[in-house]
Amino acid sequence: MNDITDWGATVREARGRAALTQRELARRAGTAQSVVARVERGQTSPTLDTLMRLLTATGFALDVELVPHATTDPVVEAFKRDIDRSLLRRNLEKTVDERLRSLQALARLADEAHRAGRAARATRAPRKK
Amino acid sequence: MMTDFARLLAALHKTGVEYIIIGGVAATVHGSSRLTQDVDVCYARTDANLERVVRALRPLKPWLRGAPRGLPFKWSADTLRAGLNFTLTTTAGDIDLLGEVTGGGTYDDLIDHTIDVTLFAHRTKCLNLEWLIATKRAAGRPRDLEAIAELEALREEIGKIER
Repeated sequence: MNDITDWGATVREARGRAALTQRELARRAGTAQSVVARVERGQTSPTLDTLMRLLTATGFALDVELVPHATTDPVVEAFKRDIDRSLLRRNLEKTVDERLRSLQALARLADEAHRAGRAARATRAPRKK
Repeated sequence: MMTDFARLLAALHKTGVEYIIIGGVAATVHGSSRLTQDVDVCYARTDANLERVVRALRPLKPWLRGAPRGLPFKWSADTLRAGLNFTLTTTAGDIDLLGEVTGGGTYDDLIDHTIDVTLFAHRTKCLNLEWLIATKRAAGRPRDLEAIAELEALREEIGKIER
């Protein structure tokens, strides 16, 4: 999907897919060929009304959806540098079910380690005189 | 107590609960290597689904996590209706039931941002990687920052594989 803020590319792609020249598109949309050319080159930001008119004339509709905004966080980037990517790549080779079974095995190991730790602390408890 | 992921998911599946896997288990689905201690799900808040949730977890004796045993707590659809998000402990381990997810909204808001996965032989909806990152960012918890870093690294690795 195009980034719809790149109006020019969106109109150019729609016109291309409709096999129209700039002049044909302009005539269908009731505007001048120079307007279509300027929009496609990114030399002007069309109003939403103009954009819809141009796209409708190509036989396409504009579908807008909300997507999470990509942000960069220096703390996250710092953490990212320390991530063992070989481990991630190995995980990606597994099926989803295998990943879940590994998680269950890890949980079992953690549970056993906690139990062993508690037992060790209990045996090391200071002796009363 | 160790969480039995398979048993919890089987319980939800048995009564046909409408839910979306989010949180640490969703991260595992996408390839995370981090250990999670509980199952987080976003559940649909329809009356029928509240009944399904109640029937699913009743055999596992759900209890408010961290609450004293003497505290009155009735496991019923009315209780779910009166609240929204519940952190529960059960005989199969811990489960968080979220009626609304920070930065993601309700079940209906999230359902279009899920992938279908088979978990322990059950077809399940799981939040997609993009929205999992977004909801963790929106939650704004410092402890999530390392998890977000790993999820973003996974997204980059998946991008390399798909190119």
